[in-house]
Order: sequence, then C-alpha cells, then structure tokens
Amino acid sequence: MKSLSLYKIDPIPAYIVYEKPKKIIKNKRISIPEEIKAELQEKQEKILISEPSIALEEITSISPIPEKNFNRDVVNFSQSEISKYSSIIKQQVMSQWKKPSVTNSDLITEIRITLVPTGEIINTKIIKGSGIKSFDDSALTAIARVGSFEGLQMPSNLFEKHFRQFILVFNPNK
Amino acid sequence: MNVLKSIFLILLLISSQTTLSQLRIEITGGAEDPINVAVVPIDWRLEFPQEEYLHEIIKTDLESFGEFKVLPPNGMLSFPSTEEEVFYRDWRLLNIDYLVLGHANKSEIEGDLKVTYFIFDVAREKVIHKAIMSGPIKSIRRVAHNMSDKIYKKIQGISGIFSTRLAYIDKPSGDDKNYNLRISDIDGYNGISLFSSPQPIMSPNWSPSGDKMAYVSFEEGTSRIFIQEISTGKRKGIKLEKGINSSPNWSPKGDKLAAVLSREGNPDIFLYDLTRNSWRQITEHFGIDTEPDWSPNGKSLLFTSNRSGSPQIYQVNIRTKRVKRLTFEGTYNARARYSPDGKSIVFVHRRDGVFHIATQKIKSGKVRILSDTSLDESPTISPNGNVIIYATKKLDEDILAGITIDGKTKFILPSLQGETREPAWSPILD
Repeated sequence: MKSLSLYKIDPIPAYIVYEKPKKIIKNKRISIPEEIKAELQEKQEKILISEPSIALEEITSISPIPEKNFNRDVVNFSQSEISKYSSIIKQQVMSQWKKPSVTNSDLITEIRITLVPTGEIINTKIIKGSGIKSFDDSALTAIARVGSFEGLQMPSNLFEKHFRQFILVFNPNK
Repeated sequence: MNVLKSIFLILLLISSQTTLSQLRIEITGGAEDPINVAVVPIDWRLEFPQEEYLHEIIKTDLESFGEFKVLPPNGMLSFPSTEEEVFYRDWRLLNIDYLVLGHANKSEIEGDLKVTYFIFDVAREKVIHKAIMSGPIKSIRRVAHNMSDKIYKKIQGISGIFSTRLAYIDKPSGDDKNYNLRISDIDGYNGISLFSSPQPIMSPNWSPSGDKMAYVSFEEGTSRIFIQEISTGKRKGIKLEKGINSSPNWSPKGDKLAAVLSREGNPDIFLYDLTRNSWRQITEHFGIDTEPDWSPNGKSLLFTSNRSGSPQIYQVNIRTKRVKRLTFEGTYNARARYSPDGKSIVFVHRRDGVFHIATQKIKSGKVRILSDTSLDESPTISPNGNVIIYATKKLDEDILAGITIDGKTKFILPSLQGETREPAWSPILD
C-alpha cells in the first residue's frame, strides 16, 4: 500500500473494464475443450476499479491467482500502474472536452484510440456512436485538442499491452 | 465442413481474446469553460454599406446564455472569408474551438441578400457546416439570428432559440395608460404591441405553430378569452361562460384550449374545442383548480389546485380524468409548465417565505431551486428546454429575468420598457 504515496500526481478514479467476449458459441455440435470453456467464463468477469487503493485490496484478496486464466503480462503489471496512466489520460481528455448542451439521457460514445510511444494520437475510430452527431463530434474534438498525451513514459511492454490501443468511453451520465 | 467450422471457431476465439484485453477509460465529465468561437466579420460584397453587422448580432446571440465566448475582431490574427483563406494555426493559437466566416452577396431576389458561411472545427481542421442563408436586407437581424440558430445546433446538438419571440404584458406606466400585449424578438428588439386596453390583459399563450395568441382580456368588464392572429391582428372572443374565464393554454395539435371556468361555482379545468366551439369539463373538485398546461404528447394537463389545503401541482389524464399529485415539498407550488421533453416541470416554489423558480423531475420528484431572487413568478421555458424566463421584481419594478436550466447563467432582459409581466416563450418559428 505504501507505493501509493509514490504517485507524482493524485490519481483520479478511472474505470478499467475488460470487454466481454462478443460472440457466444451456440453450436452445440462442436465440443469446446473444458479448459477453454472455463477460461471464457473467467474472462467474462469485469474488473471494476473505482479507487486505486480499494482496487489493490480487491486484487490482493483474489489469491492465489489461477495462473492459466491470466495472461502472464497482466500479472506483471500492477493494476495501480494501469490505473495511474489511465488517470493521466482521463484527466487530459476531460480538460479538453466541452460537452454539448444536448441532454437526451444515456448518450455514450466509444472511441478507439491508437497511440505511439511518445503519447501522440495517431488514429481515432468511433466504435460505438451515440446517435447524436454533435455529441460524437465533441468527443472527437476533445481528442484532437489533446493531440498528444503527456506523462505516459512507461515500460514498453506495459505500453504495448494496454496503451498502444485503448477505448475512451464518453459517458457524462455516470 | 465441420473442420472448416471448427477452424473458424478457433479463429473467433483467438480474436475475441485479443479484444478482451482492451483497456477502457471512462470520460465522465468535461471542462466547465465556455466554448470559444470566433466569428470573422462577414465579407460584405454589396454596393451599399451595412447598417448592422452580422457578426456582432451573432456574437450577442451566442453569448446570451453563457455557453459560448465569442472572440471580437480586434483579437483576430487574420480575417478569412473563404475556406481557402483559413490558417488553422492562427485560430489554435487563440484557443478557438469553432470558427465562423463567410461572405454576403446580393441575392437574385430583389431586396434580398444571401450569406454563404462556414463553420470550422479548429481542432479537427474540418468544415462542419457550409450553407447559404438568405433573407430581406431590411431584416438583417433575422438573417443573423437564423445563422446563430444553425451554429448553435451544429455545436450543441439542440435547436437554437435566437429566432424565437417572447410575448409579455406591459402594465400602464408613464404616458401610456393602457395595458399592452407585446411581442418582441428574444433579445428585446422588434417589439410590437399586439393589443392594448385600459382594462387588464392576462395569460398570453402561443398557438403551437406560433401564428396566433390566446389571452384573457377584461375589456368587457369580466374576464374573457380571446384569440388573435399575429400577422393580421384579427381577434375574436371565444364562447363566454358565467363567472371566471381564464388561463387559456393551447393543445400541442392546436385544436383545443385548456382553460379555467367557474360556471359550476368554483374554478375547474375545462377544454374548449376550437372547431366545435364547445366546452368540456376535465376536473371536478370543490377546491380551486387553475393554470393548466398541456403535456407535449397531448395526453395530460398540469394544473395548480388547493384541494389538499395548500397550492400544489397536479397532473390529470385527459381521457381517464384521473388526477395525480406531483409536488410534495413545501406549502406553495404553483404555475407549472412542462419541459419540452415532458419529463420535468418548472414551477413557482416557496421556500422560507420566498418565491423561487424550481424544477422537478416528474418520475423522481426531486426539486431543484433555480432562481435566487424573490417574488419570482410565471416561468416560461424555451422551446429547446434550455432556458427559463420569468417575471420578478427589481427595486419594486416588475421585470423579466432568465436563467439556464443548469442554473449556471442568469440574466435580466434588457431593452424592454416599463413594467413587464407574464412572459410567454414562442415555439420555434419557421
């Protein structure tokens, strides 16, 4: 827990959620090996991190970690590292986002961001639009205004694993 | 075949595993700063000088509710009037989010001008809107308001309200011994008197298409509801009933009026069918029922009633006549209006002896006080749901004030003269 005080900036809450598998296999004629089945079920669990400190406790409480269900790289990076850089990204996007007045509830836009290790955004793609163009545009504009993230100097394997490509979820109703 | 399928499935499993690990970061809020817009003076290519500057009218429009900050020309580094002349770097340096520019030419129609204009997203270096706005040169303010509406819509995603109008009642003051029903642009310009009388005029209400006005006049000695065409000034009183005839409120389809009659002895809510010229009773209670407002879907009415002992807001289903009480906080809630989406109400709420404008979500019942002045009354909501104008007192004078629905921006309506009451916001006008 002491490692928390080493933060250079105060982390703000970030939600890290692993996506659910998109397809569910329905064809029963094909038998799926039991271990893959188990793995699928494991992966469906969302890891929700609301506060880094709580998250750490949650994670330490899951022990022992069943090795085959986690990719080794994930285990190598502590969730607090991921959370720290997520917070840095979140802070920079939020400071540039000017939400439009449109207030229909439940507007959510998901944008896939591709970075290079310098933090520069090289590609953005809307993967789930809100249905309201001005809302989607405001999110794209915020990302364009950021242009390049600062403070993302991190080990290259961490960058490759989580930050070369990630999803920004614009959800003002949260 | 089965082999192919299993290969496909395995591929699918692999690909789904790669997306599994994608990090998701939630952006739950944005910057509180206003949106920075630069409106370059429109390049005027007509042979006579312009009397009013389009860019100045647009600047005043966009800044009126606090959502935008508009850069004045003396802060600009260049004055482009076509797409080719834009250097995004100039505008990024000035921290501009959106750039508006264009040029005005004579139209093929005699006496008209046409403005070709562009809206640029500076961060994305992209034209987000390109259009031609035309109109009579003598109505240049209208052309500018229409442009402001388009800019607002493109950036904010909801309709702009700069071309809408406001109706209100002026009390006799100074030389004018009459009450006046007036209409003006929302910025107070182009005011006209629609009707004037030495006896009180009350409760103006716009027809849904914005071409007529219903109101109460005491010109015949008792209260009577009148309907007046705005363009021709033609007016007629609707079928008079014994006692009070008040608070007309137009149905969304424009075929009926909800109103208050006391012909049965005490005030109740009635509907007036404008094609059949007949009244139909909706509420029936020994308490006072008054101030009806039609829900946007036309299925129910809001009204104020003292049936529980203190004035509270109720909703009645027009078909079933079932009544439901909506407000429970405090001992005075009155003069309610639906928001355009029908999900909230705006009303007058008394707290600690002071009358405020408040809003409440119909479902949750949560009350939020918006105005911090006292003696606030008669709220009217902009057709896009974002702004409320209400009557209040300043130094003992009746004035009109406004507040945005988020409570962030407050303003007093200038350029209206005399003592003004009972504002009524027009629908979006074409």
